[in-house]
Amino acid sequence: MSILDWIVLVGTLAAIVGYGIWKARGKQDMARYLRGGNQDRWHTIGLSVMATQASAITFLSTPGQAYQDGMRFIQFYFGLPLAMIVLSIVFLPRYFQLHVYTAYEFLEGRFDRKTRQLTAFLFLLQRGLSAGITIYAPAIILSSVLGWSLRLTCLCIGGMVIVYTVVGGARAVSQTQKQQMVVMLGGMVVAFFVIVAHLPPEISLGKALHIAGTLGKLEAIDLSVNPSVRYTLWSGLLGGFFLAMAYFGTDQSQVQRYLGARSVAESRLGLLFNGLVKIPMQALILFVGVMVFVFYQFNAPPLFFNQSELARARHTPLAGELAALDQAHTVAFEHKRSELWQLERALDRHDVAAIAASEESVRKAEFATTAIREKARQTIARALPDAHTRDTDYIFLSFVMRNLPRGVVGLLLVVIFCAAMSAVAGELSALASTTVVDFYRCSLRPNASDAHYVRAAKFFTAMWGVLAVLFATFASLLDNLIQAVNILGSLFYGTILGIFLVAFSRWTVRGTAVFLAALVAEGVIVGMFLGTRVSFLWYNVIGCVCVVLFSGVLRWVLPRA
Amino acid sequence: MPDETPRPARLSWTALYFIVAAALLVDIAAFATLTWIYR
Repeated sequence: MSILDWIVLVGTLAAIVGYGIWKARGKQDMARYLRGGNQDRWHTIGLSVMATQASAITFLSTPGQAYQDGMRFIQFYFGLPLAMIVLSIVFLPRYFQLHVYTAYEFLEGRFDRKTRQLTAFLFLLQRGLSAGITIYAPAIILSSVLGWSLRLTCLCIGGMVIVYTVVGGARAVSQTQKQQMVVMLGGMVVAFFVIVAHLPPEISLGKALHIAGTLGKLEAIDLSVNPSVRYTLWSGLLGGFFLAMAYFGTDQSQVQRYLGARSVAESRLGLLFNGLVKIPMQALILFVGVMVFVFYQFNAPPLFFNQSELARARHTPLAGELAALDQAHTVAFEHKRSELWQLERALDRHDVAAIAASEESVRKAEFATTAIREKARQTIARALPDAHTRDTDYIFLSFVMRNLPRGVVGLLLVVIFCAAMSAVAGELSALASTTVVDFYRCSLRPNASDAHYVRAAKFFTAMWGVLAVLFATFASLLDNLIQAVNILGSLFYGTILGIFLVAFSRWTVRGTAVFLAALVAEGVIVGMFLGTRVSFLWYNVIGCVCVVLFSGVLRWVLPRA
Repeated sequence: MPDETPRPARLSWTALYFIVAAALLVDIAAFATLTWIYR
């Protein structure tokens, strides 16, 4: 990294953190510390909601996913705009009417304390563990590509976030998130144009799209009705709708963002802004990945993008096998490149028959290079059983570090740091508010002063932050746990959403009936997870429908429960 | 909490919801076209 990159990185991060603390200065009470004092306008709400969702992995993994799998991931977001509309109509007015600090507070008034604390506990469990992963996942990639220490990277990200989140509370979080989101969006637009400019001069944007399309990277819509296919139009619309309803409507890390709005109207406009901008933003990130893919059709890509693991594997007895694969990969790449130049010339001549013939040859050549890369991956896995062999997460950052000009490298590292910090800050602030409001004030110290609860919230923010950093630091020892945490979220969301939907309905269902219905629904979801191959997006629909159905049944069976 | 922001009339909110839903349809149509052109 050059000095210019360091200046861009450190300068931007320091400016954003300083701005957040400065904006949150002044006397703090609970409403100000946990809800930002209800001062935020719609653009702050919209951008901070987006920044909370966009973690560093969004910017590191999504381009790699497009490189590997094409644009189909975009379907995951199709349910989101519809969810924003329903939340604006149904959820927001209720939350604002009741002046709640957390989403779960609402459940006590509607049902009982045990249902409130069950959902709050599920949130703490899931979000508390995932906050550590939000730090760990980018830290392992950054440390590997940049050669930094993993622990130091975790400490840097976590430390900065803890400082401004503890000092400024929800207001500092939303103000910094607004700046961070602008930097993230701007950074990705710059990245897109710089990457397109790095393509060979003969390859226009149109030709780049043609090449990407020929190799299957622009298949954005999949109409398959097979439930085990992860991203289809249907799973995106329906599963994505339920997931977005659960995440934005019942996850405190999101609810806290829009509860900080000046009014219901500002809050609604913020969510609708998210509904309008989210899909184009994700499409931009995916397009960046597709353009990186086209770039590597004309410039030799490494055999394996996680260079540090490749280097380690080269010091094992399988080094000879890897060297042979490297050679075969170079030959296959040169062959594919010559086929691509033939396709480029056929495109220039508008020769339909030659274009079709070249497309077929390019596809075959791509198949051959992909097969060699897969063999290399398997060889590395054999050589180093503990290696991280999913190298798609490393594609974008290793491309940035090898090919982009000075200054732009710093800017894109800022994007990744901003994304990590904004997501973690939202999580820590929400974890602290749920701990204080739904457990500490509710069950442990019900009648303390406002100032006492602010001090408690600061303590719990720091506590969750330290736990997240500790988890991130030692996460490399707990690989299986990380996978479990990632799965955990999708197992609970449908059930939690079901509880809230019953709560928002006019049914006369009592707390125990919903509580039991939630437990049975969770059993169904865990059973499906263990016994079927249904894509996780469908769990959100099924869990939610089960809670609503079972509540309806229990309402008749146990009318007094 | 007092709702200080001038609240658009009911029809305006409906129009906004419609715009967001229409934008989704446009997005899906655009991606379907992309898929179809380059399949």
